[in-house]
Amino acid sequence: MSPHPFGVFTAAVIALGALLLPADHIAAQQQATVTGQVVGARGGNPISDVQVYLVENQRGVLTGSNGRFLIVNVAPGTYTVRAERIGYATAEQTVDVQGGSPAVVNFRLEDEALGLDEIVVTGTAGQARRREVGNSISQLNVSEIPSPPSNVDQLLQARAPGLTVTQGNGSVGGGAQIRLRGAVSVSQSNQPIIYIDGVRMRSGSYARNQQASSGAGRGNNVTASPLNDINPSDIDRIEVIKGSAASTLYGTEAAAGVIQIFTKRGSSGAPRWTVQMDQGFSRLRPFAPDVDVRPPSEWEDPNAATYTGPLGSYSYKYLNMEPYLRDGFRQRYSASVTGGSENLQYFVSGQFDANDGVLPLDEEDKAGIRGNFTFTPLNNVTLQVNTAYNRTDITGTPAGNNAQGLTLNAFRRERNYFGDPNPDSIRKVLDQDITTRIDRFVLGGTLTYQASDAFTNRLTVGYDQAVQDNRNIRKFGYFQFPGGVLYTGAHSFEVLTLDYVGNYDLELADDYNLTLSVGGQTVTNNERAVRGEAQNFPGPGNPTLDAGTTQLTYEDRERTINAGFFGQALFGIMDRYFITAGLRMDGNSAFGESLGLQAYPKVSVSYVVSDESFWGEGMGDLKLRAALGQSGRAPGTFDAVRTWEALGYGGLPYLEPENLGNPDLGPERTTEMEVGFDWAGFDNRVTADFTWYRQKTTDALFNVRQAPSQGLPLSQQENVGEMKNEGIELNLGFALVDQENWGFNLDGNVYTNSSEVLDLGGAAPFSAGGGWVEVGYPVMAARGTTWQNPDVTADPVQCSDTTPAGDPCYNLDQVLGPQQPTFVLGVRPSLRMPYGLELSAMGEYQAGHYIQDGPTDNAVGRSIRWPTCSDYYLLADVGNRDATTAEQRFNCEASLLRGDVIRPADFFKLRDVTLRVPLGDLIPRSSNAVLTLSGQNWYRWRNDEFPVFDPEMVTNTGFDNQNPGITEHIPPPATFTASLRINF
Amino acid sequence: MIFDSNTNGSWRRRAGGMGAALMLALAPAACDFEVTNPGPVEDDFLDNATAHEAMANGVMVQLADALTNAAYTTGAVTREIFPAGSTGSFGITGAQQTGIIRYDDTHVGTPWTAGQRARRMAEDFLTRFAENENVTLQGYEPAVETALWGAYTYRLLGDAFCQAVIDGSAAQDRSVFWERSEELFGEVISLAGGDAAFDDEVTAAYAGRAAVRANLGDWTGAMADAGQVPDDFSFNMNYTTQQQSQYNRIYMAGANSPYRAHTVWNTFYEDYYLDTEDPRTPWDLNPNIPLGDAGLALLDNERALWYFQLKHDQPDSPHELSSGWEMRLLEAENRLMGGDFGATTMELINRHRVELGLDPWAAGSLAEAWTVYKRERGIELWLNARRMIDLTRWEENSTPGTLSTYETAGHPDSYLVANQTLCYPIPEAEYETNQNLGSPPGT
Repeated sequence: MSPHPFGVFTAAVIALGALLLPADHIAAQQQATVTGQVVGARGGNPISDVQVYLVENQRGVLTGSNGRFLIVNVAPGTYTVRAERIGYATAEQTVDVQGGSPAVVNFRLEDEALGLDEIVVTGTAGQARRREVGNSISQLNVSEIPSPPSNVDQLLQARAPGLTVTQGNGSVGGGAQIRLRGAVSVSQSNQPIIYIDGVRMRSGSYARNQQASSGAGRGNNVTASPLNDINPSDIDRIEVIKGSAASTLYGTEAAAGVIQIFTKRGSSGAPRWTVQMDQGFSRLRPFAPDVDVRPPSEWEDPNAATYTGPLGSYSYKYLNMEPYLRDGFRQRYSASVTGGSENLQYFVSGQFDANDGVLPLDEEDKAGIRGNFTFTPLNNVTLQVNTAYNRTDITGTPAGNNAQGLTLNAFRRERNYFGDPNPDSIRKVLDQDITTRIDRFVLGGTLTYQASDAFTNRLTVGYDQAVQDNRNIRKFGYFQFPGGVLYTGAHSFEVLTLDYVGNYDLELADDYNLTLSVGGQTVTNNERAVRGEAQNFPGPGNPTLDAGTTQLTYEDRERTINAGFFGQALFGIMDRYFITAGLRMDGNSAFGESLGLQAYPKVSVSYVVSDESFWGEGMGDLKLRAALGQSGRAPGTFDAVRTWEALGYGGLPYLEPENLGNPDLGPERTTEMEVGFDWAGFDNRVTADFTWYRQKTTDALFNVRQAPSQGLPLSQQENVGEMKNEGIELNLGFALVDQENWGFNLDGNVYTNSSEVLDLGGAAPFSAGGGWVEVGYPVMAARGTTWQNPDVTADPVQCSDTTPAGDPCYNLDQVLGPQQPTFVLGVRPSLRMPYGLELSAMGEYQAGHYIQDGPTDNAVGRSIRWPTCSDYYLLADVGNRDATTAEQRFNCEASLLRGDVIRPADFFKLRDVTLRVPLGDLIPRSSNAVLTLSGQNWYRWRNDEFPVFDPEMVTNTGFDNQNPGITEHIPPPATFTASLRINF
Repeated sequence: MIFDSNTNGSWRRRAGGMGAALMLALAPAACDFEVTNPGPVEDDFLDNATAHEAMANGVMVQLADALTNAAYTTGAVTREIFPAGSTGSFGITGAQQTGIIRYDDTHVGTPWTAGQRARRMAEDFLTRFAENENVTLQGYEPAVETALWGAYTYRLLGDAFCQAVIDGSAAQDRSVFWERSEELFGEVISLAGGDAAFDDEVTAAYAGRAAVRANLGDWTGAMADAGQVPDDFSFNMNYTTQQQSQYNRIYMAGANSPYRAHTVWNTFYEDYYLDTEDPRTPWDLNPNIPLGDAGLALLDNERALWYFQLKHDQPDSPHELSSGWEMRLLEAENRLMGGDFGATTMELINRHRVELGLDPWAAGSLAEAWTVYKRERGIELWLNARRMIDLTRWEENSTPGTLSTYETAGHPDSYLVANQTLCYPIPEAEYETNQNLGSPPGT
């Protein structure tokens, strides 16, 4: 037993806050203060997190959630007070501060939709103003998101065009698959790389909790995401750059894009507390047709010649899962405090989450603490230290494609591995303990040294460590393995980041500026795992590996280093024309011996047209931009070297070929061109940004297949392929109604993606990511069955040259389309009402892609009654098979079913509906409070040809899989959350 | 947010600062990208003689994988066992349930891939041993074992597959596999050089080569080799309980753990065992779990009774590769080929039965002798991956005699289609990657 983490972390937050309190308390005793409130010009709502500071001495604070601020200890005098916040035009006022009485300054900030002078960091050399950046960059300001997100995956979902976040399965603890502009690789991860406060963190999944020796899936079959260790309440903003045109300076590993998370920083002033409590539940929605497909033996009259209806009420809409499902209680508590003195500011927070899940054993508990400290020891030196510790405990229900899992055996009813649909029998699988603990520690420090007005240096050192402990026990006496089985895995993941960038600003002449930047970076990944399994224990209890009569252990150690340096020149003319050119040089320990440093160039242009004299005031703000750049993806750690695997076989050592090796192996290289514009007009009431992009991956790492008769490893990575991605992104925002008490905004985005394999470099077509890679087809295309005369009432045959034109026949393994959506539409309406009430919604439509439905294939192949065949059964059950069509027979008869079941995955989901109710200072001693009621994913529309499951599921291997896919999991549930946030 | 407006440095300071910045930026370029990760064994290590035993074992493990997969599928399509439903990873595909092995079945690829890997490793390793200055090949145990496993691998490939392909070649007659097998068996005998320490390996080589030579039609050679093998000799491929991938697949797929994918129900062996209790074909049932894993299209989607075989009753139950009893039957077959069904022939057929205390078979005609011979060989080599090649050889030699209706293609009792498959086609993966092959047959 361990102490409850909530208590530990809450106590720690309170203790740290209390420690920091006295200094500010003392500071607050000073006589002269500047105070006031910042509200929006549109609607007059208070704006939080506005940086308000005195220009003369740069001393400032952030506004609270009620928009109020207080700058203390101000010497008497006249000051310019400036208010700045992303998304709003900067405002200034002059104030005369007299000793002994507070000076009051109130601001009404105008929206600045384009934010051309906002600072962005990701993809730039250090930082840049948005007007200088030639590529698209999406920025999510978390305070503007109305619903309280339960994790970072959910926070990102449907927030930006080109950003696709696939929910995953209905078991707790699973992470989401994230794609930026589709897939740029067929052999390497397409998950973007992730930074938090400048520190690279692990973006791949944690280890799946399953047996060490084989992939039979004895576990809950989900993979947790490091991204979801981050407390969403700690996040200030997220920047997303989607392709190589923007990610060049990240080099070899950035072709799939970059997501950078910025956590909140402290601001000077008295401590300000925020506490938040979320309560809610998750509920599984029906995911199969509401039909009854029980066999005639279970009809009211089993001997009837025609269907007489079922015996009693029954429905397959949850695929027999009703007896095991529950509403999963969700609770979340968080607290934070921010404040500080002139030289030291802090932000400290703690959280505790508990999510019971809808499956009977599912439970996920999270606890975490964060401390972000800004220290300014000299007026030109700033040290920012961010540190966080999180603990996640996941208890799983055996699920997925797992013969000893709950879901598979429930779905298959009387033809499950018990041969018995009785829930009391099936519940025997719950006699398994599947637990995962993840301890995560992130420490990052950034030292900024302003050597002169023109010369800035920034050095970041970061360390991200996660320790994962998996245990998976089928207890002694377990019905299918009476001796018991234990799997255990101890995993360690470390990422060490060292990053330097220096910027030098030169004013060449009036209106001509040049910023020169140099930088270097190393990222070292170190992964270790010791996994073991044991069987046949002497008796009941909680065993360890050594208690089993047979024991097996595995060890994996993998270390990779990527390092590079870059140079960049940013040339600006009249603060409206900007040209940026840069070059990144990279080395990587996974490159082949004969490969040296790799160069990735980039160039971009930006033109703020609206700053021209010819541009009419009523035409709004317009920036044109274009960017061309390269970045890459490194091969796997061992892919370049010829290796053998050393293993054991009943006490005998043996070797088997592992990797053929390729000394010339290098990174795949993605070149991206993007062109677009950002525009805001009609008094900022209409905004639009548009981007056309085209990515071409050359030297693509393909697992080139070897003929099995060669007797060698079946594939070897080679830099042989070429493929492309292209499409558009359009983001639109309309403030349709904008009155004092009422407002209605309609925002939306459109994203398209078309991918194609251009060249295989002589390699044979091959399978990858659950799809097919062949020239002329989408990357990792879904292959399925196509038909000739499917509605003819006859047995189908495979089409051949001799098949008569009128006969029904099928073609197997035909390319149907991509597995990633080709069209995504996001819609976000919001209604602002009197008293600050706000009702908002978010919907997302995805289309053009296909997904493999494994459970249907598996069930029909075993002659299991399946709801997709209800029409067929209505005829065949009463001896009228002759009236069934060729396609029905093919899809519903085990002897005829062949090939994979592939379904069009078009869907619409109502991602979120949220009502936000400001409570003002209704709660005693609070400065303000907000109550939020929020529902997620309660409505879903699917393509008619997609009758079961959900198009956003992932297979047993979790979100690391290249594409979505369905195994015997339940879909993600809908959730409801009531959240109360109070500021003190 | 805090700037010092008075920190305007000199040109020299600026240049120095930029230089330092540049050095910091370039520092990564000085990184040593050489990373030594433990785990994978680099190829050079295989030149060290201490690795040679593990290399020989590597050939054996690949053969084990090929053999256990081939034995399972062979058993299903020849009705040594009857399918009990599952078509997935441990199941019997819908086509195989009817007696057809398709080129695009996932199960076809495993014995091909593992077998090809085993034979390539064996040949490469023998070359590598020969080129190693520290190794004297004659009497070198890793070489003898490597050659032996390689020879059995080639025998399995020849027995199982309709055609041969070597190193991406065009399709060739399956006899190419047997010829290479014969050559490697000979290599075993030669490398052993009469050393008594290798008696088992040499006897196994004779037994294996006898079977190969019979399939090649060299009955003289086959009889010469068979004569070297005593009755009680048995040479096995062992499996392990170490991990699931090293289990005997027939055990794993058939056991209630949880697949129950095959059954002895509706095979010749169901009644035969009840009648005789022949220890070579044991099976049992569990009244609490009477049915197989899933519905069968063959049975109008109903499930088969689950009678689980007990020959391979543990995860590490071995597969017999060769035996003296098999040699006696081969000697009987040689006599039957010559039309001899006399007492000597029948004694050879029945010798093991008598040893086991079972009633001997009797035959009043050559056809009857062939019938009981085919029956006895099925019993003796039950689930040993040999039935397809035996049926093929007998068919090619137009031998008389009948099979049980439960194993007769096209007979309703067997649920086998008339054009039952008696050898594996070259698998789809080979067609997709080997430019010297055309399209798969029938496409």
